[in-house]
Amino acid sequence: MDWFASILFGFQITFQPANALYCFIGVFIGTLIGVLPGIGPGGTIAILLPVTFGISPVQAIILLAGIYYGAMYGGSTTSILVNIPGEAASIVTCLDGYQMARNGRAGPALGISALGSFIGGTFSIIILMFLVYPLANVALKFGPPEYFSLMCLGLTIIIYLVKGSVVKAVAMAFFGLILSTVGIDLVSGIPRFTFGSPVLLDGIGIVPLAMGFFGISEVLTNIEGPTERIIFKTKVGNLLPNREDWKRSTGPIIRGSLIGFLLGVLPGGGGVIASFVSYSTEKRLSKHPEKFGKGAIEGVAGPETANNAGAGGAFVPLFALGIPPNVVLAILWGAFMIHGVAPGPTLIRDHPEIFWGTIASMYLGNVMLLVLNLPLIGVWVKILKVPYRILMPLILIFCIIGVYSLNNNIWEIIIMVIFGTMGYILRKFDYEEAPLILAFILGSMLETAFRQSLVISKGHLSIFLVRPLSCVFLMIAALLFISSGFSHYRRVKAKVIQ
Amino acid sequence: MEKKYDILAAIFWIFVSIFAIAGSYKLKLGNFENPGPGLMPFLSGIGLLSVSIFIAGRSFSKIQKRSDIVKKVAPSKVNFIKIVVVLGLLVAYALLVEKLGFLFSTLLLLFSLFKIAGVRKVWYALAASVLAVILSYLVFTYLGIRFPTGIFDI
Repeated sequence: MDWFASILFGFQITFQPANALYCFIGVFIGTLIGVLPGIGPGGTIAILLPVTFGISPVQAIILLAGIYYGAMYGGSTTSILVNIPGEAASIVTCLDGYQMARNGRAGPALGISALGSFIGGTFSIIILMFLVYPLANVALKFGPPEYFSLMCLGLTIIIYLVKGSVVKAVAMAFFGLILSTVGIDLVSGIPRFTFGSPVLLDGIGIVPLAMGFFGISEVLTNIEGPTERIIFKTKVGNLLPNREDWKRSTGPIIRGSLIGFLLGVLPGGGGVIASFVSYSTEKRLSKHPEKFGKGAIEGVAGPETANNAGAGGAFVPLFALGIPPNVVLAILWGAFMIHGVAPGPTLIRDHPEIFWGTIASMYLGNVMLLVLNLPLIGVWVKILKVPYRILMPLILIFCIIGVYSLNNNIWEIIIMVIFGTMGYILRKFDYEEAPLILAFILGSMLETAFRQSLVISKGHLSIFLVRPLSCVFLMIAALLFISSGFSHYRRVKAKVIQ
Repeated sequence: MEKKYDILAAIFWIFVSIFAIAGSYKLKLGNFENPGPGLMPFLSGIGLLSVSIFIAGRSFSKIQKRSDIVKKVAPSKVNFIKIVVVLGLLVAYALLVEKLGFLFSTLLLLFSLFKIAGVRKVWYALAASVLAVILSYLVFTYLGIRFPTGIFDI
């Protein structure tokens, strides 16, 4: 099947009425949760995962992927109008987007954000489409040592990029690895850490864990004292940027697309890092860096393009290698597995309808998002006004129904509440959940690759160093880990966080 | 949270890691040539233990150095009662949903949550709960999810 025939095949799948509807539902929910601070795409995918059991795998993946990239669009609305990022990838948009709104230019800020997102998103899908196939062919030659080292690198990057303490992130990653070993060991058939409970024989589910850490702990944090959302009273008015805006935004959009995609592909990457790097690049390249933070349109166009390009780029390691590069795609990886589909190099061969259908749905989804985010911006502004006292009970009910419907087992609700409480307490101690969730997802794959590598090498750990690719992955991981201890790194990180 | 509380988290991690190490030791570690089911949790446990000891040591030394500052720090004012009540409600719901049925128990839970969240008017909380329960029931049942009917058989 050549490229053209393949993408045509993808569009045939996407344009089936039911699939197009699920694509719309996905991007709509994505925009909604992007707009509403309090629950991110990871939590939403986890909550809605059980809902997808009744639909086909291709519909499920189209829906859930739509939530992910849709959230990137929606997040900018709150950043610009309320100065609260709807999700992490839009944090940097607050700096200039909100200032533009204060200067009476909310319309062009929202407009360039949506148009930049569209361009970045579309660019990343095109590159994704051409990159996955050759990369998957390379990945087919990977052995267990390469997979083990690549997963170690992914975990190291996640740890390296945490906002707070690296040591605490390492602790969370180890805890995630321990949790991933709960349940029957697939090699020996021996139950591990199950305390004799049949509920734990299959291991801890990703859904109760993710919902606990993302849904319940988020709600508990907000119960403490919900933040007052003050929507800046300004006329949104004309959303289309003028000629001068376009002139100033073209460079940032092009650079944002490239930066976003490249950083999205890296394990541990995604929209968040891409938006920060794009912002700092634009500020450095600008002839008027002093205007940044005071309503420079380049500070909105670049990062918003980058976070959407990053969202598309993040699908490359998932589709080509079967390795989720960030937490949200780790939960999507769980969705693949629950639907009996293994993402990775064999995906295109075994399930072309899912691969090409999802790619084509992203094109369609991006067009839908443009329509949802430009003419319908007024609707999202109204939704912003929904008070948290109404949202909180609904989020909790969705979490409960989502977890219960997995296996019709009340103990899964209890497990979710336990992890929710743990997540809330750990947040208080400045522990971030991302390394734990990613380590938990990668844990079983990591263990299998580690054990297989040892069996292949007859017990020689040197197998990870004598294989060139594996050695390179481990060297990069080691360098990153060591550099995170340097004071220069800590200073730069503190500056970025500020 | 202030550094002085890090010691509490470190102690928790030390307990978790010792539990993992002891548990995995019982599972049989095997050797590198023939790794057993306990090897991975054992190595992860060792890793966690090392990091926990480091966190504990760092936290302890900071407490020693900055004892004067620590005394001034008061825990932030957090509505813990509200949090405990919400958690209690969730656990109670999990234990009762199969006995009372989805519709009744979810209605009770939602009403309580709306009140805790700060919805003042009873009729408003009740109406929102009824609407949310009916909508979620219809949507999720349509999607093929089966809910417990409970003793009321509804």
